[in-house]
Amino acid sequence: MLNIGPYEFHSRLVLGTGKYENFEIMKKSLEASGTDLVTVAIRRIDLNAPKGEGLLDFIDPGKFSLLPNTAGCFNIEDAILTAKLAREALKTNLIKLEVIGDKFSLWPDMEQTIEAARILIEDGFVVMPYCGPDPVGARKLQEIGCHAVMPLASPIGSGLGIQDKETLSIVRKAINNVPMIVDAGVGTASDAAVAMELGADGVLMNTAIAEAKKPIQMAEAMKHSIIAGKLAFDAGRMPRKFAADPSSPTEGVPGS
Amino acid sequence: MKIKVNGKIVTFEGGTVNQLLRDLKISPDFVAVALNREIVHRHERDCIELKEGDALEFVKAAPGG
Repeated sequence: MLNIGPYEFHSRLVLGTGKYENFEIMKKSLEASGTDLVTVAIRRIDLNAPKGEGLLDFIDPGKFSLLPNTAGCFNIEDAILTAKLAREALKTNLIKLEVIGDKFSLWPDMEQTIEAARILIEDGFVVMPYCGPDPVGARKLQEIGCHAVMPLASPIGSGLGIQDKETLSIVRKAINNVPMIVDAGVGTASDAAVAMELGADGVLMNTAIAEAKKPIQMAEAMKHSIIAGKLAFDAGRMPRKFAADPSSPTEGVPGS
Repeated sequence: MKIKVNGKIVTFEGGTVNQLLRDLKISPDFVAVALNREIVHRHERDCIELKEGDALEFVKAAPGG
């Protein structure tokens, strides 16, 4: 169970809906992943093609909750307008807050993210901010009342995996009241498992599945990796040793 | 009169937000509207009369992560 504000989700995997070859593959990938929370962007309607099958026709509202994002916003005003439009369009107060500070790396602007989060919380949103792997910034987001904190593992869409495990562990220790969801950078199943083994409460991903050769199969792999990583974290890993420690008895070896 | 819809200049005979939605053949479900960067709630769409130079945003969910 993943609890975010007043909401409860069965899966610890949050999936994006971007970059799929088509909506049918997306739909099957969502189902194979076991997720029940999916992210969507908010974009202008194409006035030349206002009709036709849309994204929401392929997302069963009985199975999935929608998590709209403010992707593409570079300032507080645009992020807040996008969040309000999302709430109006999708009738949800969940928002994945992104305020980007750098086009090349899509690195979040923490100063503006914190201020935007403050305004949205005041307005009744359940705010899940995308942030850097920064324990001080993450703690501030928790302190102002964010309902989850979502540090990146590596740049959005890069598939580079967990670039700095130690720092992500420090962020984990800094966040104790709300879920930490690793958002962005996962490339394959082991990355998701590592994120969970570091103590993440969940992982949000998109490209790792959408750009896999077999997205539906990768979605299923991710489902298992999240479960395995969480079980392993809860089980408590053995201490690391810097010499071998035989598993078989050293006494009674035949012929010795 | 001329108004701006999603960044483009559009000629409109005049009327409410809902009339403009109908003119543009936009299905009103799952669509959000902002008028001059302020949200127009669903129940207001039949009441608000548009004026020359108004800037509207009509948005919906799109694929994204």
